[in-house]
Amino acid sequence: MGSLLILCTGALAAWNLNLYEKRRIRALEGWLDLIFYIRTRIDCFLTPIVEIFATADKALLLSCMGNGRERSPAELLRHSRLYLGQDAARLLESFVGEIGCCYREEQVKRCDYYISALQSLRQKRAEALPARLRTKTALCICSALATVILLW
Amino acid sequence: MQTVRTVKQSAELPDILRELLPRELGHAISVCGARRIEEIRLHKDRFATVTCGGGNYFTDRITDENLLHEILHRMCEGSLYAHTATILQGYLPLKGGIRVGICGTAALENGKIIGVNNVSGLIIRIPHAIPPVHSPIPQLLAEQRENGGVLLYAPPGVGKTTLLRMTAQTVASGEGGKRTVVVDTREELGAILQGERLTLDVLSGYPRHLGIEIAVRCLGAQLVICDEIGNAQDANAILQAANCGVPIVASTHAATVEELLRRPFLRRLHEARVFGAYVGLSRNASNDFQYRIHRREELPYAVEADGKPLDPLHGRPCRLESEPL
Repeated sequence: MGSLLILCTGALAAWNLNLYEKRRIRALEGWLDLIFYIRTRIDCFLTPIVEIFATADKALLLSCMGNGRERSPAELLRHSRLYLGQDAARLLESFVGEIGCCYREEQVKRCDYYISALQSLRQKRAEALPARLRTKTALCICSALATVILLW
Repeated sequence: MQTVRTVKQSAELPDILRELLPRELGHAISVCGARRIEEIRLHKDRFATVTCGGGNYFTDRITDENLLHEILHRMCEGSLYAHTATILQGYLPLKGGIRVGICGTAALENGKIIGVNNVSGLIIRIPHAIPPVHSPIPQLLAEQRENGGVLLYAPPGVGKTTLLRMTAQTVASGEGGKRTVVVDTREELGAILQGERLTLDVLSGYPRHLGIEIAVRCLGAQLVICDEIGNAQDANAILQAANCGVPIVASTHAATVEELLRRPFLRRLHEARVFGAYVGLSRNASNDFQYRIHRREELPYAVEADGKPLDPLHGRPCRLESEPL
């Protein structure tokens, strides 16, 4: 019974880690969507960033792993940092620091830069995902098995 | 000559500026000695000054470059790009009709300003809250029969916008009020216009020539009011509106009517008899408004000795339509 419980815990941990890996990609996709939305609002309507966040769809903020009530990109970054990883977080920190500090054309170009940088990051993560899922699943199950064998 | 006074009195800062300026700076401005703040001047590495009644009052706070950038960033609501168009024209409109002039280093491309860097000064103009004793413009408008526009002229800072605002409020009030459209390019003219019984529309932030066109074509204006005219596009739009039977009340920078008529585009409007009267505005020693009224008939038209009309744009006799090319 105990062994079964340990194996179940291992499987649960594997499932959780897989979910986390998928969320890491979903968070990047969310940020990509958000930056694209911000870019459009700036390019077409010159909407101030506070207003962009005030009128943004809650689902868009949730897809970035925020709570849907964020009022600024800095706040959203703080909430979604857990799912971003170091490279994406550094990139987005720089985006958040720059937003609103440039004139329109420059701001749009900066958004384009961050979109392309995040896209390549997302692609890398998507390519590495199956291998990471396999590794993490195997690691969890093996750890559980090893624990069972040790305790036998 | 401007005077610098050091008597300590307290002045009220508008709420919006209280939020935007750092507390210490706001306090320094409030206690600098000015009673009714007209302008706040913040310059890089200099003491902030307050202008009031023609005098400058120094505060005890020096503003550095970082502080200027921080204030500008706050004024832009953290979104500089949202105000690109106005910043490139040298100003930033705030709520309540406050206008911030921006000094810095211009970045140019093909002779056009594409950005302003190294901000070195912010000149915050606060709309005058004092009503003029009497505005002659509604009376002049009522007297005119055809092309009854009025052009208000004065040097900067005398109170043209205040008078225009008051005129808009008077002319558009009540049952007999005219359907008035205010073309508020710099978002300071229409800011304080309030009243439930006003037949008034405000086109905020529209370029003057487009605003005038929209006012005439789409909004059914009986009177168009706009501030600080002075280029060919404005002149064309005003001419169009006048030819559609819509009088214009406008203001422009000039100290005398002679100066006014020396400006090609204004002379062109004068020759086209767009304005029925010209009102010169000044202030006397006790800061009260004074008016000089010139009727159109009293002023000369720009013609050469042989009677040919002058080309209003170049000062040369212009080709009449019937003349061969």
